[in-house]
Amino acid sequence: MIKNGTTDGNSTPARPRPLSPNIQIYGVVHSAIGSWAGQVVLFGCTFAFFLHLCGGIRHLVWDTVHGFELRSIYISGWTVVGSSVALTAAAWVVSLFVAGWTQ
Amino acid sequence: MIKDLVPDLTHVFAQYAAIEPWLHSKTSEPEKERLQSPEERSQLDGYYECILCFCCTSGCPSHWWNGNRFLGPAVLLQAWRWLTDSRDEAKGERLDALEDPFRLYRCHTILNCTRTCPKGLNPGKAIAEIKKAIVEREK
Repeated sequence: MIKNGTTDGNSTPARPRPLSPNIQIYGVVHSAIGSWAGQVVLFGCTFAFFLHLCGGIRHLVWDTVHGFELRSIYISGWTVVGSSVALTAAAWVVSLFVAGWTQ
Repeated sequence: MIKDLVPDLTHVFAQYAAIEPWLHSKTSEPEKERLQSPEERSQLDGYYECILCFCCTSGCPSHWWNGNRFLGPAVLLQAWRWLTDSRDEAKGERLDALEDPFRLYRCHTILNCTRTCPKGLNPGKAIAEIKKAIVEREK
C-alpha cells in the first residue's frame, strides 16, 4: 500500500508529498465562508439552489402540458417558494448537526 | 403606439400572416364541407375564441426583448389553433416553420399571457402543446 509517499507508510517520504496547485485558495475560501457575512452568502446560495431545483421540476411538469390553469400556476409557484424555504432550512439543520458531530 | 389605446399592430399582424392562418389541404376538395366529429371540433375550444387583441403579446417580456423574431403568445396560440384542426393537412410544415430558437423557443413559460388574456384563454398552454407536438413527432 502506498502511504505518505512510501511503500510501508511509516518511514520518511522519499520525496515531498504532492500539493494541489494554488492550495492557498482553500484557506481563503474556508475563512471567507466561515465569517458571518460568508454564512449569509452561503445561506443565500443554498436557497437559490433549491429554488432553481424546484422551479426546474415545475418546468418539467409544464413540458407535459399539465398545470396550466391559472389557479394551478399560482399554487405550483407558491409551492416552489415554500418547498425551497423548507429544503433550505432542512439542509442547514442537517449540516449544522453534522458540523457539531465532527467538531 | 399611435396614441392612447391605439397601438400600431402592423408588426404583430405580419407575424400572424407568417403562420398562414388558414386551412391547408392536400387531398382533393370534397363535394360538401370537410366534416369534423364533435370531438375533433372540441379540440379548437379555447383557441378559436381569440379576437387578436394582442394583450398577451403586449404583456410578454420575451416579446418585448425579441419581438422582431419571437412570434409571441397571440400568434403562437393561433398557430396551435391550426395545428390541432383535424381538417388541416400541413402539420409537418407548420411545425417545421415553428421549430426555431426564436420563433417558438423564446417562450420561457413566464405565463403573463395566460394571466392577462381578457377572454380567459390560455396561450401558455397552447405554446406548451406546440413544444410537445414537436418532441412527439421526433420519437
